Amino acid sequence: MKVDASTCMRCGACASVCPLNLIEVSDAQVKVGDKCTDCGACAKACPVGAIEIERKI
Amino acid sequence: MNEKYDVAVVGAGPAGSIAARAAARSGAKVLLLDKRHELGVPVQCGEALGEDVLRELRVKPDSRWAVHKVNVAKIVSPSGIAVYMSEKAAGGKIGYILDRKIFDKHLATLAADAGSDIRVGTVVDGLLSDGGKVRGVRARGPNGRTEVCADVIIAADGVMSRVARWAGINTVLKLDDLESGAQFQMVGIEFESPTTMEYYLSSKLAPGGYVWIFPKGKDMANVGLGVLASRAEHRPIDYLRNFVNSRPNLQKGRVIEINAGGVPVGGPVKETVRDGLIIVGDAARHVNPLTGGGIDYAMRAGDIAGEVAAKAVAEGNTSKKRLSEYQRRWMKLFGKRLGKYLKAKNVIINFSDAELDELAEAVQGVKFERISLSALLRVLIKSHPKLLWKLRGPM
Repeated sequence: MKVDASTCMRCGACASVCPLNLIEVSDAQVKVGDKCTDCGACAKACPVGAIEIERKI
Repeated sequence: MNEKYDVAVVGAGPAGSIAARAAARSGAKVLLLDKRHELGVPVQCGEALGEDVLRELRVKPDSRWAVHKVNVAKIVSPSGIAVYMSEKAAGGKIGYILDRKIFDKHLATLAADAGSDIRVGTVVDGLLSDGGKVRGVRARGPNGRTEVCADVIIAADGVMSRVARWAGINTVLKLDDLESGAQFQMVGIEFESPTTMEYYLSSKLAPGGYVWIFPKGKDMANVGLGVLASRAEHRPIDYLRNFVNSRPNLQKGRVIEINAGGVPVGGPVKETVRDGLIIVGDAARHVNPLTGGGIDYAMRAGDIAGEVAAKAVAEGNTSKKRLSEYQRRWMKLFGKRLGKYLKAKNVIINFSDAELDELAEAVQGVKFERISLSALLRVLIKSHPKLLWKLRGPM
């Protein structure tokens, strides 16, 4: 997953649905752990559409 | 660096700050940590709160943060049928619209006044544990990395609820249990009355949620909405733009602030204590699943959590069994009520727009003498038993 830093409001809705607890939201950034499977839950949760999922083929 | 406290509270929202105040008042050495550099920012909330919890927890309302008073709720069905609930002019209850940027700082100040240490701009990024028992947190902040040992950790880390998960309690939200919300603070708008909170229900405006207009002054309001993440076909902020653009009374207004956030609406977490750990507020999903309101429950849970944590530390027993006093008390205070509203939500959320219109029509003329969700539900069940037969028992 990729976060558009200028759209993101740092609300943490993404982290609340991450099944692997990989997302850390702070004032400065959204950090994602390297075990992300691009499941897309975070993108669906985001109120402002700041998250893009790159589907692995 | 290695530090030692009796109680460490992660997150300085309403639950965390009230918990820190309560623990410090009960004699504990307390540290309140928050990742944000400025408490209360960014706002992730519609900012409405009833007066009861403030009175009961002795937080004196102040016009710096209780910025506006409301006493009417207007609920509008998809086709525009309005149902009104009004508090009596004399002796009725006051609803406040808050300024969370000031309110949250005020609650943290109350914690500080009670003796709690506070550290902002400090991200908690892991737990210290010892054979399954939580014994502290790892954090990084302006002064680098630190390890804070504490006999009890109070997890008040909000909707993300990462601390509970590190401790092995599954608080992951399903997309069915998350309201994804966006809000504009608008100026130069018109609305029915500055003392009326407006709610709009419609699958087109806000699928699985609702739109709200909460006045903050005569031409200023929080205009926001929540949509169920599993049902949204567009971004919540786009639903909000559509709503505002479709209303002549709003479209000429100006947006002076944009807020966003997630609200857990799947009902409270079943397990809110572990050895050395208590979970409170949004992290424990202490939110009314039907309205998405949670400040009230968060503060009440925080107050109980802080007191129980401090007593447990003083007794030298911070086991899950000892801390379960907290779980028993919040369950008794509001757990049953949240369960009831969850049942109501699960029924109401599946109504079509036509059915919502039918319900509104059935209770349109009823005179409600206070703003009460349970009174509304009772009248709805009575007026339209066919649609709401599933709720007859629980309400």
